[in-house]
Amino acid sequence: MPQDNHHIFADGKLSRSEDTLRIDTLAGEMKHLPVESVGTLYLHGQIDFNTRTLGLLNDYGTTVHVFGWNDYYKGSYLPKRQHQSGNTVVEQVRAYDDQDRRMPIARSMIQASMHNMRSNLKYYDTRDHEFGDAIERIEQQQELVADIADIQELRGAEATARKAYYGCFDDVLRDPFELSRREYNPPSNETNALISFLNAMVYTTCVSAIRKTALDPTIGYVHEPGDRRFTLSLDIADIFKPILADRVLFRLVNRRQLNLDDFERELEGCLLNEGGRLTVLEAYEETLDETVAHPRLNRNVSYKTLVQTDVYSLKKHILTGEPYRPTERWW
Amino acid sequence: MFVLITYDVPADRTGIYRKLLRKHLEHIQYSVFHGDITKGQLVTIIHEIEDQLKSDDSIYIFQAEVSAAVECTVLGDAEEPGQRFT
Repeated sequence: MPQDNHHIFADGKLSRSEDTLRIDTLAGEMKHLPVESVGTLYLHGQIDFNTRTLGLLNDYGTTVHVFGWNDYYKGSYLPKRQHQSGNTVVEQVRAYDDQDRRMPIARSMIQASMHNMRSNLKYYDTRDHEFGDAIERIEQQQELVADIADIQELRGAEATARKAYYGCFDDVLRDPFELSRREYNPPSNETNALISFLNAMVYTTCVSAIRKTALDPTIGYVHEPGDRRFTLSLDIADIFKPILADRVLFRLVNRRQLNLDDFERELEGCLLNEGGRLTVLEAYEETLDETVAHPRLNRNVSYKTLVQTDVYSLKKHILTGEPYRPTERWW
Repeated sequence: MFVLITYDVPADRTGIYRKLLRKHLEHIQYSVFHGDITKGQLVTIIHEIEDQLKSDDSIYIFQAEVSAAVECTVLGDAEEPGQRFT
């Protein structure tokens, strides 16, 4: 079903009117959104809304992601669960608690994540870059993964691979963009700001996808469940970051769709300004809509659907033991 | 699939169809709506319209299997349809 994401940058009011969503901006514009076709709402501006609006969003299962100051991810309003299944949650926790079940899931997630990093590098390796060393280092880690029996070691392998991966960014990115080291909280330069923003978008995409199932987003397999964050989304997001975030980053920078004017520096940090965010989001949304031929489903599916099928596959694996196939770029 | 729906109904009845269509489709001009929806959604819309039909009401539905096959040109001071940003 075409369920578009809708981003609201304007300040104003979101209300329920004539059984659908209505936006009144402070600039005096009014717009109706077809509630049936809006999959997820992203609020970037200052928006007022009331419980009647939330009720409507609830009825249609629309997720709302809220972004705060300088577009830092603030949180999500998740509709009342459409899919309730105690059975699924119990099985999900059991799989987490049982090393023999947790490790294979975690391993295949990390494998997929490394595979996707490697395939990005391979793509640029064939296009006048020399990434042989980094590719080899990632491959070494991939080989190690199969024998690792400890979750921390597994995360260590992932970190090593990711370090090699990020090490290549500087080379791919056209000047003046550079990445000497990955830094966040706050991002220290333009590239770090872009990576942080895109990663946050991938994370919210995963939150929305997980919400469409009965899975509990707080119980993940690679990351340790903690407080205040959706660990399962972090797990899934790691698989998709190279596909969704990094490729968009490379494209935007190398085609010069972004330049240094799209950022603002404040308090030792660097963040995208509004124009920059809009450019990035347009590119990100386009990427979500991009389609590839899926070998098992026998049809074309969008990248957004791939996130969804990944989550379905995980759920099926947890419930029935059918093999979990995290998305590894095959195209 | 791509759908374009227009209506021509007596003035006091326009609200009925506007309200009904806004839920599913993007409102691009006074009596013109468009959207990328599923076949099932279209069936729902058609049923909802049929429940409201009276004499003098007329409604056109244009549809195409693949929304990407329809090209749209906007002239003048109007927003591109299908905007995902507000």
